[in-house]
Amino acid sequence: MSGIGRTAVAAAVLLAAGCAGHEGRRLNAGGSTFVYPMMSMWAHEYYKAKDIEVNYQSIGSGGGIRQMTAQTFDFGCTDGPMNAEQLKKAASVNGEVVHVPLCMGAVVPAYNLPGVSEPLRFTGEVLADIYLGKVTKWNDPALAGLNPGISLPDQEIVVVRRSDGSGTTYVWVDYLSKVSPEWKTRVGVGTSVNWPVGIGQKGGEGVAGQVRRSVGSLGYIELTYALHNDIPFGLVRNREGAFVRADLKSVTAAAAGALTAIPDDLRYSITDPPGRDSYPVSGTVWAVVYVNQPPAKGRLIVDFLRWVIRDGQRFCAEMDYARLPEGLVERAERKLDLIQAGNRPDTAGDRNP
Amino acid sequence: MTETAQAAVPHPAGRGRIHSPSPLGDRLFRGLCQGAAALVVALFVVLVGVLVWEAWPAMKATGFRFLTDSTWDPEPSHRKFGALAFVWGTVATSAVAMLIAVPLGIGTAAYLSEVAPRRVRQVGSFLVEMLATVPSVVYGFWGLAVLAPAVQSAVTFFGGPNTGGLGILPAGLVLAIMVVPYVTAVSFDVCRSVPSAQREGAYALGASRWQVIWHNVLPYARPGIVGGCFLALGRALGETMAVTMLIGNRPDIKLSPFSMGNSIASVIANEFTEATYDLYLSALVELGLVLLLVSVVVNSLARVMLWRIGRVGVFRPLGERLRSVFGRKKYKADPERNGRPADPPATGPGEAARNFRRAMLVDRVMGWVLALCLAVTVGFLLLVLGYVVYRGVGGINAAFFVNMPAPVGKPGGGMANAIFGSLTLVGLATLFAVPVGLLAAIYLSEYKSGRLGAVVRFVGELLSGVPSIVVGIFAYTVVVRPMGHFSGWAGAFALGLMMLPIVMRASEEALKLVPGSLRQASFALGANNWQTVMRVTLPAALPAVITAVFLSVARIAGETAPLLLTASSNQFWPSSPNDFTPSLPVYIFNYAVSPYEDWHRQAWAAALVLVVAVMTLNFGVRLLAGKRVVLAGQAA
Amino acid sequence: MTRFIPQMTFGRSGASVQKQSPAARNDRFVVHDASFWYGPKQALFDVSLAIPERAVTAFIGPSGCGKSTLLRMLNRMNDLFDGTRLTGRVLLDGTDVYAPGLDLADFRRRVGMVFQKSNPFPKSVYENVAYGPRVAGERNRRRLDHLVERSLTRAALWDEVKDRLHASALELSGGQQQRLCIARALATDPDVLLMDEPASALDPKSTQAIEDLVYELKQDYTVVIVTHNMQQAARVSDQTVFFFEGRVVEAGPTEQVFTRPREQQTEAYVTGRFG
Repeated sequence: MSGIGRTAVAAAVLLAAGCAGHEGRRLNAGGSTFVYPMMSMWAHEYYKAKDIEVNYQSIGSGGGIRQMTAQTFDFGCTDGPMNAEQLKKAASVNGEVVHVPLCMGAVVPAYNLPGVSEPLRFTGEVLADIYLGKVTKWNDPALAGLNPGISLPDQEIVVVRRSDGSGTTYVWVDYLSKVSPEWKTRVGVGTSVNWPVGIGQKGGEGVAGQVRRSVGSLGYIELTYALHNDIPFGLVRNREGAFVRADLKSVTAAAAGALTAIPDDLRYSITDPPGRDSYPVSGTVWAVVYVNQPPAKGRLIVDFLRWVIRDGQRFCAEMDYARLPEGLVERAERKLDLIQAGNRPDTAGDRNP
Repeated sequence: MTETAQAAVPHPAGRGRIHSPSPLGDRLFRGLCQGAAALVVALFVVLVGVLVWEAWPAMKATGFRFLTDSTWDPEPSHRKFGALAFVWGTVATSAVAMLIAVPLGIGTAAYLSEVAPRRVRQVGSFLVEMLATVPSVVYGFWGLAVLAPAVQSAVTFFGGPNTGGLGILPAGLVLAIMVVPYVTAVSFDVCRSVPSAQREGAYALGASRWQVIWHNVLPYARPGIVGGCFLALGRALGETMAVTMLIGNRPDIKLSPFSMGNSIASVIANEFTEATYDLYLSALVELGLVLLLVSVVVNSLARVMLWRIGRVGVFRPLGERLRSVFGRKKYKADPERNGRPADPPATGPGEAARNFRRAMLVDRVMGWVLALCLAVTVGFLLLVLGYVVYRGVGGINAAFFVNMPAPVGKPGGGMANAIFGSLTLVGLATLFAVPVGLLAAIYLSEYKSGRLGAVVRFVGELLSGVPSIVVGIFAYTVVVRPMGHFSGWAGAFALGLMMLPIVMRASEEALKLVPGSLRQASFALGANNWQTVMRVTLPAALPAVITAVFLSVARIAGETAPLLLTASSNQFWPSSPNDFTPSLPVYIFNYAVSPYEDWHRQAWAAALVLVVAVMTLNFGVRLLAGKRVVLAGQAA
Repeated sequence: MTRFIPQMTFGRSGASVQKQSPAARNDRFVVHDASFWYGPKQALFDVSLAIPERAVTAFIGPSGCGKSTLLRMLNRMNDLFDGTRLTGRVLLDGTDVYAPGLDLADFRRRVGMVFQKSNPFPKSVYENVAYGPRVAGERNRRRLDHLVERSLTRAALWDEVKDRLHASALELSGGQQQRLCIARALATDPDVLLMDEPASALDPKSTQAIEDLVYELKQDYTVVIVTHNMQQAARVSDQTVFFFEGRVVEAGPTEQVFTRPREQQTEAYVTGRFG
């Protein structure tokens, strides 16, 4: 007992005496789990370049929004834009919040069918029917019709989905409800929904692992998980009727295609977008941040976010994240200008390296 | 603790009058103990208060339907919240876990304490405690990688459905493995402290080893064993990570061995961070309240059952047990014969001899069964530990210990800051929980604590069943929110709160087992309560108290959920406990759920480091402090 | 436990006991050349003696002289300790007590034991006494009732507890608890009763009761009693064995040992010059 006690005291003393004074050079942020690896790369590079610490915590988008709202985080990151209720609550705490897109990703239908080597083709409707429990076999005519020439087994589809609330789920069901009216009325859109069927697994890694282990399974995961786990995933037919394989280009294309439809506050959804090359199940990560900031802190935030959407974009590809289309970067930058970075005269001049 | 060796020997009176013990010190000590006990209750009351406050909107909106409805549809336009299916899943998994863990744990403890040679005993009890140090997320991954496929092939063999090996049964199984160390460690300690005179008395009457265990040792140790089982039950009810990974997360209520389900704690942990509107969040907090309610009900039911069995005697044949429940006439002296022995009834022809032969056979069989219990428990341990080593050893290198975390693809990333942060958090939590828990335990066992005592005990059991995420919510509300930022203090508070009931409950059991004669001897020498406790009772109970502290350290060292909401984490060095503080479990969790092999390796390395660190700590302190205190304990 | 079987030679003191014991009585226990170790520490050195049936044999000697060790050797209670070692032989009615394959439970039922500190089980009075028969396989309710009553009567406790047979044994007084332990030992119908300072923790009145009881019991049982109290040994025993530093110094009829000891050390001890 005394042993632990002494260790702890020593640790506490060390801590108290240790390096202090990060205050001026540290941002605390958190939220989206999806963007965590990307953010840790950005933080690493930014620290190297500017000697500013950006501490990002992977606590989930909802948590990010909540902590940003409560001002325990300097900014939050989320896979889905804040809803009206959340915005209203934030407004009552510290006023207006802006959304700044940071990067993008895709959600893919991944499966485990040992005999099938060619990528399967899916449509939104069929995927919705599978997740509604209406299509239950791999050799269902609906699936077989999309995949002529591929012999699909007479096997049950083991449906896998996320059990934790997640932006990935949000993107997936957002897409399904856009293409399937039944989905829209029966299940709806949210970070967690009342799933008609399926095994729930925690986290993208959980779903990916379940799909990898379980023959005959189908699950939705982020593109990065499919690539890094070598799990086959299907093409999805977009609005123009083309079967598109998710990759970094087709995701950026989705955003570019949807650019004109993106609203002024940048709270958009780019699932099921126009454009022949667009992958239809794509999502965005936003930083959400109060416009009203204390001077020094505001400057730190703006500098970092600007660096991310400009210089930082070049790190996206190596991490398998899709970069923002050029047009969107400009619109995001205008949002950053709204943040009151301390009314310092050099704010504008500091804009771009 | 250094003075304990000189224990209760008073100074020779030669140099005149001995200072009589100060009544003020004694009163102060009593007040301190009472204060600690009251603090435990107060913390719990505030916790419930916070939960009710946060859950109020959901309670108002859903009313009683929350408990009777099994539809959970948080979709923003549906907003239906019914917890029934989760209640079922929680109770079912915990029941499966306890059905396996209680016999297994008690069997293991009985073997270690009563049968095993000394070497086996020492190694075995150490191994079992190691099982408690494995972080729960590791059990989850092990369950997915090893157990689930095995379960699925068994299910397929019996023609069951393809569930990926997930469901209530496998979840219960992993829970059982997780809680076995609690049952075993506490049972072992109390079995060891059964006076040897009890055993000798029984052996001298010709009892077999099994008869001594079953009729003497276990009944004598029963209160302590029950305490250990309740600790285990608390953990089973509140466990999140391992359950959520294995239960299938489907809101079904089915009585099939293949059925999947969902548990309250895992729903809270799964959805809390992504709840997008206030009512949703409030409903999740209400789930926390429901879990509290479930543990009240389950605890009370278990208590009533035990009380029933306890009254009737554990070991009598069932028929007799039933008869005595329904008021069988008991043997009474016949006044007619005036104390002269009655005529001997006819002796049964070899019936007793047959029974005796059977008893001997039972003895031999049970000897093997008990050994098997140990083998199974240790077998699981080796499987789980082996898996951690297998996955983790590749990521262990010098850089891991001295470098800071690096992004994927950057070589040489380490977790120096997280190792440091974990040490800080666990250390601070121990500093908070051990004094409070120990003082409260002293109050419960050494003072006439009466009604407050009963309340404290019950609250302790409930606290141990509060899921870690709920503790996190509570600590967030009372520490993070007022301070305005995340901090190591908040994390340590949350972890300490989780340690508290374990330290308190197990310490109380340990103290109660110190023979009363020892205390009386001290009082007779003129020592007051405070001196008796500090110099006699506590040193005698110390080995078991240390076990308790380690169980609790092991319990919290691998916790993730409450830290996310309190200490948060930090990719950099924390400047003080007032700063965002990183920890190994949070890194394990974040890295383990990432898609990158590189990070997975580091996550497993961190898990290995965590396990080894807790084990080393355990071993080291036992070695340093152990020799002396164990001797003191044995002298008792 | 390692042991060897020595040649059948009678040790010095064993032979003397035999010579001195009343002719009509057979020896129940015979100990040949027994040495005993607790780990590295030797507690008994080449002890040989015989214990006659239906008589009280007292073991006396200062603390740590090995008298309790020998007593516990007689019913193999020392088996319960780790790291003990024995050489020599212990025979009960001619059967080697330490022979492999001995039915230990059955053997221990033939050799009852009462401990220095009363150790009733935390069960009812009735269950305490019924314990031995029960573990021996007795299920018949009536026979158990009878055994309980008979044993309590023999232990002179029946009248005091007959109205609270089902109350906890822990509620009895110290003297009653010790008599309960005697009744418990008698319930298995032993041939020999080993008593390890049975009255050392009791008040004079309870001690008197126990001593009376021992006197009664020797009609039917072979009693071995370890005691510190020389008056007690003189009062209750027929044979006395004096131990010193793990060896038997002198053994013989009680009267002779106390009044005409052959050894200096014995005389010094019984006259209270040391011990």
